[in-house]
Amino acid sequence: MADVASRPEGHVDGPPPDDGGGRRPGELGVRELGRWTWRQVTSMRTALVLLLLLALAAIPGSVIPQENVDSLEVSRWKADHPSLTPVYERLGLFSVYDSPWFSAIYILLMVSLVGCIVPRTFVYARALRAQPPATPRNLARLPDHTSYTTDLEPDAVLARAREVLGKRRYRLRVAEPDGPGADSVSAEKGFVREAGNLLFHVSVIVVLVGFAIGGLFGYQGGVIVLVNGQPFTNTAASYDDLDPGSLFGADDFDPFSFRVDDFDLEWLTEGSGAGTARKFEAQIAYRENPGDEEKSYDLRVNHPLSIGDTDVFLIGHGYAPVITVRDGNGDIAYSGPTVFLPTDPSFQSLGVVKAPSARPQQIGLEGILYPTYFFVDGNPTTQFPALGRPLISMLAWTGDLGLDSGVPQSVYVLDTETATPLEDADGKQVRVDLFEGETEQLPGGLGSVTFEGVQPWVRVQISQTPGKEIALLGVVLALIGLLGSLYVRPRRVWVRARRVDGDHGSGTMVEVALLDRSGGADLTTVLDDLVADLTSAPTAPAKETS
Amino acid sequence: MRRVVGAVVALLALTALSGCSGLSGTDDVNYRTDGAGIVQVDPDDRAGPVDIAGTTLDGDELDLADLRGGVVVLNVWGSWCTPCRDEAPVLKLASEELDAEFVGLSFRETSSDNARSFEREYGIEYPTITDEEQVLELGRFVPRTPPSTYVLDAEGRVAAVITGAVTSSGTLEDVVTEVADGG
Repeated sequence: MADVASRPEGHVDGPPPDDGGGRRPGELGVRELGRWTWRQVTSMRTALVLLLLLALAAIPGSVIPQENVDSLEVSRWKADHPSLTPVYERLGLFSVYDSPWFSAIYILLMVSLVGCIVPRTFVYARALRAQPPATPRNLARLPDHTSYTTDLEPDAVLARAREVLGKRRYRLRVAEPDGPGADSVSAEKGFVREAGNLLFHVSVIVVLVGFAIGGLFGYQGGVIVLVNGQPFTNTAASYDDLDPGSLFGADDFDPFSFRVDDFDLEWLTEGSGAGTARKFEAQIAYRENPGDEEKSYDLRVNHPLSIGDTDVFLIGHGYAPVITVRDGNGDIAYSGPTVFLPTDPSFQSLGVVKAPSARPQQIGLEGILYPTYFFVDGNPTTQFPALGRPLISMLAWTGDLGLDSGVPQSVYVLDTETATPLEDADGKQVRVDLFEGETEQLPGGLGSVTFEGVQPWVRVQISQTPGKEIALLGVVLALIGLLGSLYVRPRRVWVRARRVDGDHGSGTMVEVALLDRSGGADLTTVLDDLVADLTSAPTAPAKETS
Repeated sequence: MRRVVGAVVALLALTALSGCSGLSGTDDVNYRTDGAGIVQVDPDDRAGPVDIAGTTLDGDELDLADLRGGVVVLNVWGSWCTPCRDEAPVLKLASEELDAEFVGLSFRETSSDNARSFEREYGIEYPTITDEEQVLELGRFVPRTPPSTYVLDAEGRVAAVITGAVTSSGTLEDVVTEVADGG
């Protein structure tokens, strides 16, 4: 140092002595910082925190409606919470599982797990190949130990000990006849515990990968299919809502199609469950490939139809009033079943009719279907969710329905921004109230509206989840691993036999010591059993006993 | 080991990058909003002829196989679909001016009455097949969203797909001319 100090400032021979560039103690270089970060990331604590975070992060996914599960519900939620919506959208709370922050936790957890497992596997592999440790000099220092004397020769005792321990599936240290361990047996068991531990960690990765594969190569979609309506064809364009994985392409859909031929529903009419459906069942006819023979299936809740890799689940039902709108020229401007969405368990349902082709003016209707209509205390209500006395009550609009603005529109929403309310002679907006089979003329010669009947619809969820078997395998492996790591106790046993010449005659002094590496277990019975085995059975070679 | 870690990280990073496949989800809306795009298929890469046949809105039987020998423009549409309304005047004009047979295929139509009233509004006179299941015959070109317009070559093979509304007849004319010329 003195040498360096004596040189002119700025003069340096070779690399400077401090390659940190004059950093102060406590500062880290890039390498150290990286290493430190890696250690933090791969630590068990971080993995646990991340696992907890993942669980916490999944909570909004079950509390807040999710786009990929029920986008109708999401739209409804958004309409009800206009101020929260932008915040939630910003945070990706309507699509938690593909939000960047969820992915961040997921990826970090993976990195942490892999970074933890790989080095531990190497350590474990080394431990598997290593011998049980040498016998400590003083076995009496171990918390669980005992000793006894016997007349047998030390070699016979040790041979017996090897036999007993071997039978109990201990791994034995190779005998060293001349070494320092010649007077003892060292044994170890319970390697499965660490294997179980590793298996558990690996299986968490397997589960995560399984879900990732499902997310990448699968999709989930929902669609409302009319009973006795057009068939559903499995293409990207056929879904009401669709959430494809990043690597799922438009041509990856299984080319099946199905038709809903019938829908059975039993309503409970009495008891506490009155007004709820007891069972519902959709009879569907499907083709696995275009041109295949048609097959039939009874689709029920929790009884999905599997076609190829795709599962079709029945998740809901509702009503589609058949409404016909005739325009001022007498032409049918709109006709057919119109899907109304139930707003509550009473199946009071909301829907719209758009007849943009009506002449002289476009006609729009927006309103409610009451499945069993009654007028109670001045309020229109439905008494029962079944179709007892269906009534539609719809407000009429005319003018520009906003369908020619070039902006795609939901079929469940009437854009009334540019439309004008259709008014009657008193200047009140026309409300079309119709029971089944009734027709009402619209004022101003615009046409008429007829309520022809009601056709039911079913909502199905269709998904392809390629990684689900992998995820299931992962869960099973995790359980096996957990059992192993919880119930297998790694244990070491040492037996030492020495010839002693004491006051009351000579004999062999046998010391037995036990060490439970997981701790906490009561080892006295284990020790007693072991000693009982060692002393009970004949240990002498067969020829001597005979 | 590093490489394994890298591969896993890369795989997972992909999960974060949603929407890079071209197939977009419905996201915030209940309908699909894939933008218009034209995909042209090289004559050597074209799949087999498309076997679409069915009953038209007028009750006639129509088989696309009977139209082979010339260019066919197949438009998958629905009266409920807003972009279909945008392109209807363009298609009507094109069907009158271009040297190609125009055929519609109605999609997710709840009633033929609605399709008829749509055609009446726009004065569309080319036939429309009402058997929705027939879209599956398009194989790997199944529509991503209505409207989708297909230009079939003289052999009945898909030569070009326009996903989304056809908003200018010039675009369609270019494609039809190119396909007619064997391109």
